[in-house]
Amino acid sequence: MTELMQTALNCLVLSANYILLALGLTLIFGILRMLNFAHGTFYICGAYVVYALVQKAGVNYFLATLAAMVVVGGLGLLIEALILYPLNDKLKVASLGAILGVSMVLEGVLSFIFGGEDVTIGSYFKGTIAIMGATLSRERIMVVVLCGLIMGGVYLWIRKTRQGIAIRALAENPKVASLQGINTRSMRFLVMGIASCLAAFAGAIVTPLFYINPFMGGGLVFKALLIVAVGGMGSIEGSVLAGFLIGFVESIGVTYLGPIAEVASFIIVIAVFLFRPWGLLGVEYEFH
Amino acid sequence: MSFIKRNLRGLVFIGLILIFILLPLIFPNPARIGMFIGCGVASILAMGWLMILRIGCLSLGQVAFLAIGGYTSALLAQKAGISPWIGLLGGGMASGLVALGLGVVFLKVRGLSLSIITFAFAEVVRLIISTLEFFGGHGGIMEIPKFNPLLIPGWGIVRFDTPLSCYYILLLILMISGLFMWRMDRSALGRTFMSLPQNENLAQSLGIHPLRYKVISFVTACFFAGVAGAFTAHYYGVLYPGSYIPMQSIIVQIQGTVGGVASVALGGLLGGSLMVMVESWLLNVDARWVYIFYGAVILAVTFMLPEGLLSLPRKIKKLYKKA
Repeated sequence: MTELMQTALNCLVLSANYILLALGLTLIFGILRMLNFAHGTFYICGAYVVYALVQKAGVNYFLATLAAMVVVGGLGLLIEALILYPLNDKLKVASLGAILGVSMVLEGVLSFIFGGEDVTIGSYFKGTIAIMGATLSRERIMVVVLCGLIMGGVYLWIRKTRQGIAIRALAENPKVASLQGINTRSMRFLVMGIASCLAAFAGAIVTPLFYINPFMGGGLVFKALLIVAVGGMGSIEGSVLAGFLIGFVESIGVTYLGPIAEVASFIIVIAVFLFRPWGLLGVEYEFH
Repeated sequence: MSFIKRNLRGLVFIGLILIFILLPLIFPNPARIGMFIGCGVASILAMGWLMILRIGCLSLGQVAFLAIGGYTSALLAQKAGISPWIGLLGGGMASGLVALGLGVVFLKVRGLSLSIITFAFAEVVRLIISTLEFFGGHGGIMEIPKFNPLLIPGWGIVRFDTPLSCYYILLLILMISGLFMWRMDRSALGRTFMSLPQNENLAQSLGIHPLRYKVISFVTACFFAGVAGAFTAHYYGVLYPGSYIPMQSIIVQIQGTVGGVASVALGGLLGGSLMVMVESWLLNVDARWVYIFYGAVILAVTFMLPEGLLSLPRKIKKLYKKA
């Protein structure tokens, strides 16, 4: 029982992190109609900004996290302005290729600045708490709580504010939405900025827990992509649901069956696509 | 003059083959020949990727078929003692069969979801070969038998243990797959493929069975990827799951895009060989440049030559006319 509890709590940390990434991806897909392959690299950029500030400059961890969000948010806006927006009218394959290029260039640049080795800032908050017999470090609890808060914030923003309604309208039908006076261009910028901030936050928050290296972004973005795909492209509730589903199946499977259980999450994806090609909670979309 | 113009295609083809046959004799350095072999394998993969793109599927999992071909042939040779020459065909067949099963079930799905399925499939394959002991686990497979000597009438017994001889084996595979895909692309079949992403419903109303044609294109591309995979297994003598990471599939995609969609065979050949040549040169300088190079190239191509290098002559002609 204790082992199960421990596994469940650990995978909560992992799922929460994946879900933050997937949230950004699904927001971007809703408005930009594009898979942001650079999202994982944004995450790593955020983590490296924190690493540089905390380890090299001795800045407070929370300040560094804020700085990472600002830096990576700015980077996202820059990429949107210079690369993605000009490609808006072209075939989607073009923006897909371009964003892959951005991600590879960023990875290369990061590895030149920080070297290719694994780094970490080490444990920032010491101490553990016992919950129902399972031991959990304070940091992990902090990650889960903060991720939960941010997720709740994004959810409220999308559901309750005028901006959120505009974004949902755009995601549902861009033509009709812009006929109602919604400015597509500014909404694209807004979404790209916020999604990049989310990615940076997700990266920054795990620097005390995990080792990071410049090339892990690719693997992460694919995991997040699978979550978005299973949940339904553009659906926020779907991403959360799928994030927990995949996170739990994977952690429990790996604990009890060994590394082969990672296959399970891919099987879930393939199975979901077979019966609901647009995801668990998604609606049918057009992609050219 | 008119003779050259009339037979331009045939002359280009013969010229290319002559160049390929002479290349390793001009650059006899084994490292160079290794690079040419890398170019050939990449070209076959890129051709396959373009072939699949024809039916509107942006594949993100081409390395999976390379892996299936390689592992099948390696295991056949090691556990059953089957000759690598038959293994080449066996690897291709295994890849083709898997592609057939996958295609019949999944090619109904359209657009991005299909890309994600191909990616997920590639990861399943990679995880299976890197965790199951039967496939050698993380360490991969060692000591795969090399190509055995053949008795060729008129030449006596020919040994295939040097990089140079392996280069000619690959050249044969490349020629067969290139010619096959070129003919397929230029036939009525190829035009049918192209009609599918444009308007599948319209194509269906004209009596075209979309799934059947999609499966044909997918299986063809994956069969040749499998043969190329089997070749690499016996050429290198080792297989290692780390060489089938998702990044490799993305590199195949970039090579195909850089080459150009105008022609499956030429685009794949051009993109695959050019990119691998620069890549192997950069690897000697600093491996980190490879990432920046691939990223910068795909960005530049997307903005300046969206139809790939094959559209370069037309673009230059246009500029020339304007001036």
